[in-house]
Amino acid sequence: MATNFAYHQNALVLQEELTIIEKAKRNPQFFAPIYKKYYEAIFRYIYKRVDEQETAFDITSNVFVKALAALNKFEFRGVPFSSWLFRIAKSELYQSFRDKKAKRTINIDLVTIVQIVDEIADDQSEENRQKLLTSLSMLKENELQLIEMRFFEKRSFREIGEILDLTENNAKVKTFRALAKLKKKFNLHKYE
Amino acid sequence: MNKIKITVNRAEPSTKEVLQKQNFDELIRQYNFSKSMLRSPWFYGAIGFSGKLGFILLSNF
Repeated sequence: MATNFAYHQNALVLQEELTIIEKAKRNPQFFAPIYKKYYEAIFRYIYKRVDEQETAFDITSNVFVKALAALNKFEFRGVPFSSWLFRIAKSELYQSFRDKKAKRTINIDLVTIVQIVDEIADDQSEENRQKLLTSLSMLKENELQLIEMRFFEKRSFREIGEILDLTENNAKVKTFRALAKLKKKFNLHKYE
Repeated sequence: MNKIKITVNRAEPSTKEVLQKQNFDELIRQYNFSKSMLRSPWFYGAIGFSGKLGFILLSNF
């Protein structure tokens, strides 16, 4: 499976990023390059999970305000700063769902539907595709986010682990369990 | 949590459209505002007052 290559940065790039963050801890104006670098990625992560574009932009703004406010608590762990931002994004997103400011949405493209149906069914019928969508909506939130990150967004298990605060291996195990659960729901649905 | 809505092949805004929404000055303004709120004695005064009021209400009713 192709993975999200934007995540995999070399040590030099990570070091440059860390230097900027250390400066930004003393003066927020230095945060600009980080904001510009990750704004689109954070927006797209949020927009895939909410209904309205304007809501996604509002949540994205909140993520960066929260990140800047908490920057002194950030500790470098040898991974891109984006993992920390995605964690804040996840938390802001769920806060918006709780406050009912945003509607939880699964945004999926046809190519991904075909790939997942290939994994769990015998044929690519329209009926199977519809069943997949129904089965996805029946998953628990923690299972759904693993499926979204791995199969829709093509993230590596390492990155998923960093965003969800799991080890790489644990992220892998939980993702396969979520996929097994999806298959089970799909097959139960099949015989209803 | 809300009921889940599923969309297939939803049109995504272009990179240009997304980047047009960036506003670093506004980010700094919001950051400074939230910082000034946290430093304000009025902020802690309001929290303290509502805490005491809550306590009184809960212990009397």
